[in-house]
Amino acid sequence: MNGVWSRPPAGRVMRLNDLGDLGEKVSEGNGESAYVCKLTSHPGWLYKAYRSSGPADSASRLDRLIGLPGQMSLADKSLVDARTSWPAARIVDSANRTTGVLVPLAPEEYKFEWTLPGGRSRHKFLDVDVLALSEMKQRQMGLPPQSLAERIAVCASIAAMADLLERHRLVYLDWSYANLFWRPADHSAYLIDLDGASFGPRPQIQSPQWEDPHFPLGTTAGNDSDRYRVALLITRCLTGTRVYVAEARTKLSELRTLSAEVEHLAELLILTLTTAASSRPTIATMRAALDVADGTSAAGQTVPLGGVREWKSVHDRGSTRANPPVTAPRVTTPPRRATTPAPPKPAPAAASTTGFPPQPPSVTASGDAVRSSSAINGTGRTVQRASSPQSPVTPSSSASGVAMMVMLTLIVIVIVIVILAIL
Amino acid sequence: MSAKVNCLPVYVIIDTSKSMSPYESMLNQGIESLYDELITSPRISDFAHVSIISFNTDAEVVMQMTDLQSMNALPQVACGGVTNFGEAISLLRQRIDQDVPYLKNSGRQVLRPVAFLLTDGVPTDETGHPSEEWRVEYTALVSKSYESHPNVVPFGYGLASPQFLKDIATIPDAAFLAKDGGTDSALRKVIPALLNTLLASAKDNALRLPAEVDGYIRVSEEIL
Repeated sequence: MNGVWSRPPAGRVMRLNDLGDLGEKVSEGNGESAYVCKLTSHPGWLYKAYRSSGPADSASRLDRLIGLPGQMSLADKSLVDARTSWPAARIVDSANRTTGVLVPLAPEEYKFEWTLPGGRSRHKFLDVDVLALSEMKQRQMGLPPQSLAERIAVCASIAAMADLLERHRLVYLDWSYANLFWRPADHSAYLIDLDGASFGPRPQIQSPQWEDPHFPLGTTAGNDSDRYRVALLITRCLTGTRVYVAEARTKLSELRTLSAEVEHLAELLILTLTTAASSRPTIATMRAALDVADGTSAAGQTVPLGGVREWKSVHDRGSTRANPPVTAPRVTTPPRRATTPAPPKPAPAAASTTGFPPQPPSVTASGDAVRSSSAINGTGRTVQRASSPQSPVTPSSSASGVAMMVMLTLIVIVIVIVILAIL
Repeated sequence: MSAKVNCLPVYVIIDTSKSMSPYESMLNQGIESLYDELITSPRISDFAHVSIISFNTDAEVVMQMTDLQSMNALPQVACGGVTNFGEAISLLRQRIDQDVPYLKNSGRQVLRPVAFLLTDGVPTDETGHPSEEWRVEYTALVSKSYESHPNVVPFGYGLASPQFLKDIATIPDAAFLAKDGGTDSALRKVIPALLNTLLASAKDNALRLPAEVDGYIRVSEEIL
């Protein structure tokens, strides 16, 4: 059983001695924490011990942060319980000095069974570090490769939490690969390390690869900086492009041809990454765009992230597929964003459990094989929709082809009649 | 135009001399857990490019600094022979000479390599007699005249000599000796310490050494 904010083991301030035995350390020397350990006397809870100095304003800020969900709506409180390791109690020593915080351990559902070389397996939390990879890389690592629709669903879940923080005027800043877990089963995300969040702007934190050009280290950063980092994180998760921001933006631009909804989302993200800090769209706007794209993007549609359209099977290393990848090995259920707690679902078996191929899958030269056709959306606006050249002919496309043939035939007949009349 | 991304060449050099035989399976488990963490954490392996070298009478590469996912299975180290540290130094230099240009060619900005040495004894020659022959080559390896001169961070346990650890540490205070000398306990703690070091380094995009390592003391605190 995992802990949740609304069911702390005792009050909102606890004595260090009351925590009982400090169990296995899950991390050490990370940021402001000296260590994080499981509590054997309180299963499902972690004690995060601060370094001796501790955050300067720790007591009052932490108490306010810990008490905040009590003032939230039921929906927000449910989100806090289900999707965050929101600190539940401040821990003090016998002299009443803050020594750390009590935080819920993330639910087991966010762990993944990895199959490693030699047939070994490893059960560990799945962080968004491995969502921000190409499908090819995910397949190589024995992960279920994530389609664009699935990535959008996870990002919508991330945005729901970021939106909650922004609405409550909390500044997080620590958006990175390490602080979010996700579940391929329901495409939800889980946010950790919230105890550093501040009410209003605070000094920018050091975060290489996530630098905000308008708020470098040494400046004071607020929600504007959160907007940039959330947009960057989402961009990287959607495109599977890491490290270079410019490269991720380029990949994002390529997604714009897929649908009006994805185009809008991509433009919003690019705007957030490029515009002046004060003009960055709110996270609520980003969330709304993700929700729309989540509801309309075709689940399971293969998106050529990185231009890859053909793969070497990890099951048969000697052969290359003749056709582009299809949806069979991945989750095809339309991903639903779950902003309210849902009952745990059984996790599907990993798509690939064969371990690791000796060589990376080959990439064919057909990476540009995405064709566009014009369509009119519900607002009368002409949009570009992508389709694979090998995609099966659907009934509607078949019907429109027949109509086109009839039209052409009629035009030819009219032309012939006119010519005959002239003659 | 984007600035180049930093990467850190990391070498884990493991003493597999005969005295380590009782701990052979523990060493292999340690290598496995290090590898497992790297392969499942791209945020670490994007930055820290790790190679593992073992040495006793001879030295060999256990894990090359190539794509981790291209490995089907990890080799198992076998313990035996003497603590011929000179062989480890020669191989380390060879690998640095190959790996650093490779990383540079991949478009990354390569930081000064770091080598973590895990040893339980004192250096010998190939016949097993205590020897100082390694010093000449070692001095050349860590000399600033060698462009890719690595940092060396030693962890000693068992019969490791505090003076030797202090002599080879290139960073002041960054030589660690197991508190009780127990190899079993020291080995259990050294791999998590390495992983935490890599995690912290990847987070900051620069080499970050731990202020304290559970079960170890800093040698300089004990030797004047």
